[in-house]
Amino acid sequence: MALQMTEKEEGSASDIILETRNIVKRFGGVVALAGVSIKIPRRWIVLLIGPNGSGKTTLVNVITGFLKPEEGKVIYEGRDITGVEPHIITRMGIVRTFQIPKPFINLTVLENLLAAYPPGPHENPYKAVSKRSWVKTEEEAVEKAFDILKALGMERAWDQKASELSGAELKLLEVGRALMSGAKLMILDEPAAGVNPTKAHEIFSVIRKLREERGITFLIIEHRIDIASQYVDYTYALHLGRLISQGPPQKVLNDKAVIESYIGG
Amino acid sequence: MMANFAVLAEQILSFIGIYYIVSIGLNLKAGHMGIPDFGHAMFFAMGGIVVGNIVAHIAAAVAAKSVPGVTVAGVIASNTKTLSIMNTKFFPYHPLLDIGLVIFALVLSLILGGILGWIASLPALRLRGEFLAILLLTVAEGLRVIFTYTKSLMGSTPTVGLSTPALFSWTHNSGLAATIFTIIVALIVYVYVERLHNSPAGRLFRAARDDEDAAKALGKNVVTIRRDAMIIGSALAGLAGAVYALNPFLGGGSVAAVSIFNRVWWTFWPWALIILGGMASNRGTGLATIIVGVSLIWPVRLYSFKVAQVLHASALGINPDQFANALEYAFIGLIILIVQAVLPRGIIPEYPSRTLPFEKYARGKVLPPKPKEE
Amino acid sequence: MNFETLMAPLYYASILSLLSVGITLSYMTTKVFNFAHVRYATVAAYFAAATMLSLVVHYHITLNSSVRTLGGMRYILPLPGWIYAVGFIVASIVGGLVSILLYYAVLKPLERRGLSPLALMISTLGFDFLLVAFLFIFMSEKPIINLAAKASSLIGAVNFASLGLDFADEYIYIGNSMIRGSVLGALILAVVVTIVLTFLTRKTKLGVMMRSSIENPNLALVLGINVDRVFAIAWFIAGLIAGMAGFLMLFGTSFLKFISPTSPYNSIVVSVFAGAIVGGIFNVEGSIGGGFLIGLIEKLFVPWLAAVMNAPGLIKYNKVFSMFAVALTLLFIPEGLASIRFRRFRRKTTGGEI
Ligand SMILES: Nc1ncnc2c1ncn2[C@@H]1O[C@H](COP(=O)(O)OP(=O)(O)OP(=O)(O)O)[C@@H](O)[C@H]1O
Ligand SMILES: [Mg+2]
Repeated sequence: MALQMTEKEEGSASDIILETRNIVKRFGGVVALAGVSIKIPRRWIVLLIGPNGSGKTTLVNVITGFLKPEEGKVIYEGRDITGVEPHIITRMGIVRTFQIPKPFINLTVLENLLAAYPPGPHENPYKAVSKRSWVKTEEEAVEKAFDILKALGMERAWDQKASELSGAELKLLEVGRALMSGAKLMILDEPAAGVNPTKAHEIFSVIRKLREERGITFLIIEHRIDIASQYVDYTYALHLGRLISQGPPQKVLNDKAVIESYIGG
Repeated sequence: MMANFAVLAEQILSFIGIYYIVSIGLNLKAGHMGIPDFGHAMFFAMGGIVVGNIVAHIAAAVAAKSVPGVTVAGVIASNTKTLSIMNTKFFPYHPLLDIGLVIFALVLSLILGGILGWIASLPALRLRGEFLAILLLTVAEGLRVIFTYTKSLMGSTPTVGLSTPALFSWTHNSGLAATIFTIIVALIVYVYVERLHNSPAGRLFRAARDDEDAAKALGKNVVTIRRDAMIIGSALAGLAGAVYALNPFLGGGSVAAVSIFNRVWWTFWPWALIILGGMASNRGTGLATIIVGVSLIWPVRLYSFKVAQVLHASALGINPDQFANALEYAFIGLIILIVQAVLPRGIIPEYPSRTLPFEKYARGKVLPPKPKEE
Repeated sequence: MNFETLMAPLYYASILSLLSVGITLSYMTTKVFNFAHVRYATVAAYFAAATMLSLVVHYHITLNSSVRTLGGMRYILPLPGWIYAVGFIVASIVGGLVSILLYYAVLKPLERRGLSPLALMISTLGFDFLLVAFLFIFMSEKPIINLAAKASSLIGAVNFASLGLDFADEYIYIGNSMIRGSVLGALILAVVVTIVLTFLTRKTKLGVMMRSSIENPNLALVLGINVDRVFAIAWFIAGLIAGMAGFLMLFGTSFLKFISPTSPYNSIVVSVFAGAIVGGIFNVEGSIGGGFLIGLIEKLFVPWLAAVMNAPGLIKYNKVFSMFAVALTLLFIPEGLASIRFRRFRRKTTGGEI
């Protein structure tokens, strides 16, 4: 039902896929998040910016269940998912990437992508000897994996081990795995860091395309605001664990508070 | 001379078979899944118990009706006597029952090994790395003590243990039969682990081993993945234990806690073999087992005296018994140290899980079609 | 419970604590569980025995138990005191040297190749097997056997069945009650080691360097501390203490087992790890206490429980209790018993900050 509504009211802010309410997260004495509330409308591409240490990654960790907040709630499609285990949150349709890539280091690029295919009975080890139990799903996964590799321009590296990839390739691999997972909401933590500008534009084009074609929602953390801002619908700015500005990208980027937060460190 | 050679060959093959099964079980846990199981011997022991205790009881229940001197209680109370009666007067004449019992023993040892593996996986969910290794080592030691001193489990004399039923005594040559049986089981296990490796589930073990957080972020339940690896790897160890107890070359016709819970034989040796072969490498473990089995140590272990006589420089006056012992220890030690220093990925490094012919897809999808040969 | 029944538990507990502390010292510094550690004691015991036996043969000493008095104490020395002193020193030094050998010849090179702590732990296992092999060969050499046979004929105190070593203990009378020298020695040594280590880690420059190297090796390097050397010293000390324990094992064989390349290693190694973990793998004093505690559980508490429950069979299962102690500690207080007090202490001192 919710999906149909989106289809009709594309671009409207009324269908909120994810919302955080007053998230507070502390590490010992450090207050990483001091009451953060954001809303992400379905099918929007939302950018989250802020200087180093402002709490962006922490917010992602809280949303995806890797950290439990001291206060506040995470609401996903109307359901409270605060403190739910990460893999369950992913199965609900949220996938995240890591700022510092976390590849399956001894697996090949293709294996990395295949392992990212949504979990299901094809991964049951007790039935694994019977090829019939998994071969259909696996064929679909392989098709999809090669499509993604092509879209990311990594097709030549498909049989390389992840340990042999460059830093930029690892970032692409992170994105590729997220794409494999078929999530409704993708949270990408600096997907274009260390990637050359052409590639960065390509990544964001892929993101746009996925939004148009599959209606996927994105929350993207990115320091390369110049590139990212061309592709996004909305921007949140964090500073010292607080939201200091939000709105369309151009408005936020010109916000004095935001500029000061970057200058002041 | 020929006969001697045949026996030597059978013994070596039996050792290779058994060590392949027990090591590959460990490799699944430690290599594919990254769980450092230092208590592997306890799962192996389950198979020994199945044959020495449970199967013997069942057989005695059947034999008691027709063979005088056999009682169910006698399996523990007068173990040597009861088993020797059954081994000479009962098993040789009931091939079908024997075969049934062998199959039953294999299945039950898989199940018991798996159950113990499941129990052991519970702490494995909370602990990582060396701490888990130490915990599993300790648990295996505790279990060894329990089995050693509990009469109803391992008989009244800890060092003697239980005589095992001779379930191949119906054949012409039970040694040969047991050897063939051992090799067949090992081959089936090899085919099984390779198929598991080349499946999405096998790939997932390796993925979750490499990065748990990434696996979680992709919706994978790392808890059940680790649990399943523990169960399957431990079940294979249990299977190995049963094969060991069924094979007279290996168990020597009896199982005792000192042999089936032996850390050096069933935990440390398998570690050395999987390190030599390559962690998470099913083929490597096989090659390592064959190399080590054929080349040196097992002939040494089997013919310690002869080797010691040949090698021993009498000037040094080294006691042949101790020398054979020393050789075996030195061998494991050197394998572990040298391989870790020189060849940390083993003789056949971990290889990808080939679920499908990927090259074909690659050609069709992303790479230019094969250039025509010029 | 009379005095005599306390002998075995006290001896055992002291030996365990002397060995547990080395596991902790080496773990704290390099984050490696050392499987060879307990074997140092065996190696040291053999070297000490060989040295002492050579002296016995060389000086043609016969077993002529002399009764001496010191204050109100009477004590019997089966052998001249200086022979024990030499044996003790040899044992300690051998223990320390073997430890250094492992550190420099195995651990450091492998660590430089980027092996994980787990792989390093396995490499200590490999080294340990080489030690066993060495002992099997070394101890079965004719010269050694001849030496032992000669010494045996003089002092008649060496059990030489399957290369087992078993030295006559000495007895010390305090009034009418008797305490065995091995027990007293082990107890005193445990206390001394605790005091010295506490002093060393808290009050000396070496201790300061050691602690900063443990907490932040990179910072320590920047401050000009030779972290490798500091850790090597810690390993040497660990080996030294294990060697001392090995010396004491020569005389307490009736409490433990006779000494062979694999004994008493096989029966105590898990308990030693248990002591280190239960006491606190990050805490030197804690591990000494942990070793002592495990020793008392196995040799005092379980027998007592067996007596109370009228189930004498229970005594044999004593290691099961250690297993539970380890499991509970690792699962619920992974930093060991010593961390409990430490945490409360910390909260008190830094309470205002949060
Ligand atoms: N696990 C942790 N333990 C302690 N402190 C943490 C932890 N994770 C984050 N912090 C602290 O929380 C604050 C926010 O960190 P966070 O990683 O969320 O920042 P960020 O906005 O993602 O920065 P960057 O742009 O550098 O990625 C920082 O002060 C950081 O030091
Ligand atoms: Mg960040």
